Amino acid sequence: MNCEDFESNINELAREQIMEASVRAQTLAHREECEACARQLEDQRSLSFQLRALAREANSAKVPPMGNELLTALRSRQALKTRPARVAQGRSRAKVAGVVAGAMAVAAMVLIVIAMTVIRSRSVTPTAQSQPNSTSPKSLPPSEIANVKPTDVPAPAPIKNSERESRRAAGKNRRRNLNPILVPVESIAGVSSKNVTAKDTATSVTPDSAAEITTDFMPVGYASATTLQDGGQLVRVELPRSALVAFGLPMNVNRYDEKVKADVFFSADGMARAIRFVQ
Amino acid sequence: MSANTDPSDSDLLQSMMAGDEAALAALYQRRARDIFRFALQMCGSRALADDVTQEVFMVLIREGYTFDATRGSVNAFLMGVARNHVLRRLRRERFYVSMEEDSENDAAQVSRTSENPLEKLSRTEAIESVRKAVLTLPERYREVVVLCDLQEMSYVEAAQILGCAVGTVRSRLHRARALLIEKMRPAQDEEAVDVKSARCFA
Repeated sequence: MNCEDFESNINELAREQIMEASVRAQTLAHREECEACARQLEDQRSLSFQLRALAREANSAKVPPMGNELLTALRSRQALKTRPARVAQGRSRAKVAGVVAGAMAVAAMVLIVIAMTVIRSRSVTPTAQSQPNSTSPKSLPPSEIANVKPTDVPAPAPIKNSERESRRAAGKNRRRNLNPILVPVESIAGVSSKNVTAKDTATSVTPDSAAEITTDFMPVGYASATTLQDGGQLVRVELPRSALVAFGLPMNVNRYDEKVKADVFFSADGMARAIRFVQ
Repeated sequence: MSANTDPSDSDLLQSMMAGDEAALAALYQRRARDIFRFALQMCGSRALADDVTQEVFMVLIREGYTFDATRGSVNAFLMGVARNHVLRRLRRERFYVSMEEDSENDAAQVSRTSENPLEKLSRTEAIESVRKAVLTLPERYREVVVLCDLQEMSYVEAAQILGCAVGTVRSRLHRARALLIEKMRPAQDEEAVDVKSARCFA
């Protein structure tokens, strides 16, 4: 046995732990041969002796008696133990109530959604039916379309809410119908105030517009003639009278604050392409 | 015969968890001493050891259901809890200076009750120096010394309490004892140096 092996066994030897007899004998034999290891073993034995004395002294220390706090804690824990059953019952009831309430809420939501869908479909249907009427059956040769000259006029002034809604409805219908309503270009470019008959206007925009007189369709913006071929929608709007001046038409100054009716033609891409004023 | 009829720690724990106060008292009677000694030797404060002992049993009452017999004995479980509490308290009170003089009081008590005062006093001083040396050890070395040398537990039991391998306990104990010898040696050397200097002056 060398010093390293001796050192690995010195603790067990000094602490008088159970060891293999052969290892113990070899360790003790090495102690006889090596003075440093013998001194080390002596130090370790001395330490063990002192530690044992310290342990004996600690053994004589008085252990604190069991406090009433422990008994109180045990009792309160026992009291708590009986509660969970009641709490669990309450919880299960609350769970069922929650599920029922949730189901009722979902059912109510579904009913509301169905009702709203029905109401919307009813409100949308008349406008959808009126769409075909907004188109004019008349058509003009493409040569006349080319005569339409774009002006520097900006887009029409703000439109009333009711018209906006109708536009939205019309837009929705346009999206729904895969076959968009085609407005013949002739109705935009070629129809003059003379050409427009009472019959035409009545069918085109409003049911009670028998006595309406309209101007020619005037292009709005710089739309080219070719884009007008794509079809679109005619929408009746109300504009401030100043819009007449913008389009080069005469305006009665005394009626400056009044509105004027107009039919705006929106192409399939949703842009205002042409306008005619209605009296 | 009585040993055979005594309920095991696990049985006592089960009874205690069922609300048996006698079982709690029996378990306390059986295990409080080890816990108290461990806490006292780890921190050197009787008041702190008292607190830790109470806290350990409070934890047992509150969380006794977490005990798993397959992982170790009830004693190991309790000592593990005690160790956690002691280490926590030591870390919390690291920045405070203890005003207690328990050890000196004990020494005075020993000297008062001893038959041979001089001999007993020197022995008490030696024990006190060991105690101080143990208390100055790093916590991981101190706990193995307390468990294996002072509480005379086996490596396996200590490993269960500390939650480490047996080899780790063995190597830590080896290192801890070497440190203790080193810590106790300077005092002897200083004494020797003092003697030499006295001779020189003489």
